[in-house]
Amino acid sequence: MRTLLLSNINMQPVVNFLKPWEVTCGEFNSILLDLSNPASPAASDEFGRVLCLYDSDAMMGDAFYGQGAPDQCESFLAALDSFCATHTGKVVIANTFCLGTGRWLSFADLLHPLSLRAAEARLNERLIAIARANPNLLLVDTELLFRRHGEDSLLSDSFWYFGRIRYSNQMFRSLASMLHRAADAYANRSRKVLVLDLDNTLWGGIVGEAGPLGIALSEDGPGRAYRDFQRALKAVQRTGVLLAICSKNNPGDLDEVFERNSMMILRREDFASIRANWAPKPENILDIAESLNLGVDSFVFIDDNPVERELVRTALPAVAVPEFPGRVENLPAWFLREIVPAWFGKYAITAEDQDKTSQYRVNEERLQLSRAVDVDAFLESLQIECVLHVDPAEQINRIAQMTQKTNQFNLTTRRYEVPDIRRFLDSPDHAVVLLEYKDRFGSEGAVGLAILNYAELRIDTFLMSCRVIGRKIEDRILSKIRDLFEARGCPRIVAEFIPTRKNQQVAEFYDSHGFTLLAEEQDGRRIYERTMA
Amino acid sequence: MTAKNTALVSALVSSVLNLPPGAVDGDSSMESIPQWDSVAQLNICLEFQERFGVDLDMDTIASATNVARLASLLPN
Repeated sequence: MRTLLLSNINMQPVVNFLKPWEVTCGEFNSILLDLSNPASPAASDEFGRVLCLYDSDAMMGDAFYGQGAPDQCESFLAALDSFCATHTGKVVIANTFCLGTGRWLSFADLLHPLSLRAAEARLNERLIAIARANPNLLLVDTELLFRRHGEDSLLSDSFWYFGRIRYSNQMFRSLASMLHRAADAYANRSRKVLVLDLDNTLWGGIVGEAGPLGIALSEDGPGRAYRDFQRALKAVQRTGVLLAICSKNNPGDLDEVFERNSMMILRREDFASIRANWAPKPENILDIAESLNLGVDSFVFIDDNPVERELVRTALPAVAVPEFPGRVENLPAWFLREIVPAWFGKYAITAEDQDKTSQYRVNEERLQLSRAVDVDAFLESLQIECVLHVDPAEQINRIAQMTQKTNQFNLTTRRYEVPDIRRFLDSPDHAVVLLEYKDRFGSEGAVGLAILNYAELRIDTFLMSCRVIGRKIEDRILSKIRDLFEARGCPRIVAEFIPTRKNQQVAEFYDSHGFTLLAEEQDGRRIYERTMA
Repeated sequence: MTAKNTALVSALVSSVLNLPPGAVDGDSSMESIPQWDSVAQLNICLEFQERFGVDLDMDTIASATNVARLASLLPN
């Protein structure tokens, strides 16, 4: 996918930092024209991604000096809104309005009718409304960079007046990194599981020595840093990150901390999986991965001990193992500023995300039950209820997320972004089938997905969340697929299996569901057919 | 101006211009290197400012178009 960069200033130096994105710069100061002209490069099929990185002071024009209204900003907002609505297949990325700290009104700015602070807030409010209405618009809050690093480091007056370059290299580098991370978050390419050590990570000191009430965890003093770290972890868990414990402790010590230490923010039920024992950590991490049915390449491991970090890095290179801050007082800010945007970035948060831990925990309970009884009786006892939706536009974010995140029960592993799903939803030649699941333990939300291509009589995508594997839900989706093709008068259905490193469990899926193998290609891809009765 | 500063600036210019190490030396300038155009000059100065922490004024950005002049801006 090629990227077009539009601006009202000279942004050429950012291109190098944006690699591996292939970025082409639009004409100088052409952002308004390019967004509104249907014959501009921005509108052409050549560019799947359009970056709108504008300078707010320059766009304010004379209004920055108290003269007239910010007309250019108004025109930009209107052009952006209509561009996003017209080109739903493109991902558009724009920064928020962020004015420099220069204020002609000085201390009067806050209360004055011509307040720049108020003007900026109004413009951002409108920008956010446009982003809510257009899921293909990704807004990036660049003000955070200025708050973090400061105007003195990020802006350059010399380059501005010499070459219409507003920023220093530090800004171009930080901005590019922010855009990469935001785009990953938007495409749901973030990690899923955060594995945590306990002693000197979740609390200060060693519980085996200090006892469950002697560890450093408090509202005052150094223990406050650990408590705030736990607050941050709990908050991030609500965005869909699964927390797990991997520590060398006596399990009984951990039980006592959960039961007796009232300073703990995190409770046992906040963790999707807990391994507190004396086995090597790489083994425990693999065990957690197996119990959650997730690959270790979606794991991040945080441990204060450099030896444990190195051991995990060496044994499991797919696990992300960041360095630990040298001072405990940096722990909460380090986690929220560095670790969360780097590994657990989110853009749209779905209802499933907010409830993910309990879904995985409930899964462990279901597993216990399944070990006790025979499979059919077990499935019967679950009292499964499924609802199938065709083209549910309101679930567009969840649908894109499922194609990005599902690895194991995924016949073709085609990754789609929101604009792709929009295209399928809008096209009469496609149908998107979504299955919502619930049973007596609770609701799992949307867990099954199929995308049908009527024009090619083909099942483009067929996947299920690993949480519901083994409950014969797939049969219900398949029968819905059959009904839909039949209703369109299709004489047959073509299906594919495309092998990946992770989807071996469904290699024989179509063979065991009444499809006939037509061809197997060199790369292992299999084509199947099933004729309508 | 020291040989060390000349070497530092030469390395910076060759990395910004994507040239092999050694392609730029103390005699190199905008005139002698085809890739060193006005856009490259801006990128060289941006990188110079960041790497060496030297704040360049407008006149210097316009006129420091050779390795020797850039190296002379660094402390000995």
